[in-house]
Amino acid sequence: MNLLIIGLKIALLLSWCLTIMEVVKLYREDTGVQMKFDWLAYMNISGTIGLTLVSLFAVIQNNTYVFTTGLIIVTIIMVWFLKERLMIAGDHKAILGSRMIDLKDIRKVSAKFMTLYVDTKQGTIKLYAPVTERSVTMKLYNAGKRR
Amino acid sequence: MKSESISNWVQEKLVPAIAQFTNTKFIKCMQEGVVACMNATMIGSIFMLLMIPPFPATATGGFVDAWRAFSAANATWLNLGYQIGLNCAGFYILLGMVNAVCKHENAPVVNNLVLSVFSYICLQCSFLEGGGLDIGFWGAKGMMAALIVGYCVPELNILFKKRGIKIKMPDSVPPFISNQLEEMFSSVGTVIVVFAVKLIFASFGTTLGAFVNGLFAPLFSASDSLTAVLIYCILVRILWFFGLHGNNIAGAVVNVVLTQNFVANAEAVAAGGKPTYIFNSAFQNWTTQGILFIVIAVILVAKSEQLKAVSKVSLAPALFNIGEPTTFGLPLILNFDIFVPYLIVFALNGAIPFMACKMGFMNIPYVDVPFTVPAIIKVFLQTMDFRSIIVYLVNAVVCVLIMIPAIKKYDAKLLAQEKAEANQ
Repeated sequence: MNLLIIGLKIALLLSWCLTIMEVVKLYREDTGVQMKFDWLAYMNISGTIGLTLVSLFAVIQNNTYVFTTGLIIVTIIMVWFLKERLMIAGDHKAILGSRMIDLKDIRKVSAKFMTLYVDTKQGTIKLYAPVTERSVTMKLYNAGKRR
Repeated sequence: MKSESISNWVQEKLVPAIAQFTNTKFIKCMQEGVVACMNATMIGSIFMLLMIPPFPATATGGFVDAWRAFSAANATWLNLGYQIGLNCAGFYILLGMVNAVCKHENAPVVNNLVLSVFSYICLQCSFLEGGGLDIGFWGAKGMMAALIVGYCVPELNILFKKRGIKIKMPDSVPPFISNQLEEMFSSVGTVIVVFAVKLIFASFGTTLGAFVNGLFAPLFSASDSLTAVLIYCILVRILWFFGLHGNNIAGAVVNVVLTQNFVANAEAVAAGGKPTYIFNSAFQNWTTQGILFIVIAVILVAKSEQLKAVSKVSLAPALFNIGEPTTFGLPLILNFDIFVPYLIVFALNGAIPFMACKMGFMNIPYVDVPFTVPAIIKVFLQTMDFRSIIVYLVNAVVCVLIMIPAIKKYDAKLLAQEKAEANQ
């Protein structure tokens, strides 16, 4: 059981590492990347960070392992949910969830029922309730308008 | 004609007056300052929630016991997270406020930040007997003082600098050294004023925080009343009715009080007590739920194409507490056909849960939850009380029933218009 919890904690850390690596990759490959988020997105990120801290520091004990395991699994799901909704843009590229696209590939941007639809050359990317800021959405929208 | 003249009055008189008020430097900085503590309170809320399982002492069972065991095993550092997150909210507001003032004045942030933190500690904290600093005034009790120090100290420093309280260095001195020295003299001037203020308060046996809290005590007790809730709900909706962002405008002033009430509740719960302030920033979310009830009423009775289309577009956002499609699509702005029931519905959104809390039917909200969480889940998470779902459903039924006759009347009007247009 102890090994399971340790493994889950490592998986949680890896989930964050993957998310951060994605952002770092965008920083390295592009210019003008800003970590801008609106208030709601910040609350969302803060909540996930809070849960992550609790999960990572949770002590490993026999009488709490079920609760701790459940908590870490929920947190991993939250981190992946956050990762899949992250939207950051630079001058030429953007992260849309788990994908990185070129802004010049965007054909059209539209929104419906809390979901952002980004039509690209490779197909349509759907982003449910993106974690982002208005200026990033406008950047994508303008990139689509220029086509 | 009547609605046109009201609209003109709103555009020419009301909007500029409100814009002038909300664009006041202090109000703008205060908004930014209060927002600065939100992330920390969110993280602190999660620690607090896990530290204090939200079940009555008599409750037992697999999940309840597991949570209690987890809380007991992790008590030390869960408390640490809570203390850093929620119990230092005043300190975070100070940082946010200083940053906002510096941004507005185009002044260097770091020096003003250091100066303000120094002043805050000097004016607020005392030393414990065994050594160490008493940070009892960094939480809810220190918020008002944080706003004052965070605004006044950088302003004073900037003023001293502008008035030339500095020593001009010869050109041969490198700029980074001369800049620091110039800053130093204005900083010394500010510190002298801060110490003078400290001495004045000390001579009366009090601190800035205690004094300000005493001054605002009537405001805080008045804020936690049904009258205050009703005034807030109605004012916000009247502003929305005229196309102004009611929550932002009213929130500019009210949020400080509500955040302080929220943190005070969290502190009470963490200390093993019960939350006392009903009207707090978590409760505030209850007052915005009317949009979904209006959409449900529209879905139930609408026959006109316009309302059917609006309901289709508005339902999903309304489920996540986003009201703009309804506000601008129905519309709720300057719509005199549904104005009165619209106001009643939003007043009830505040009054019903307030009375439910007051009568002890449901717990007072004390947990911060993002406002896009669907209301029926959110009300439970905020109160950790299943009875809040019953209150929510009762509120929903009452509000829908109130809205139905007005929506029917408005729908009939639109239907007649659509028929007339079709016949043309």
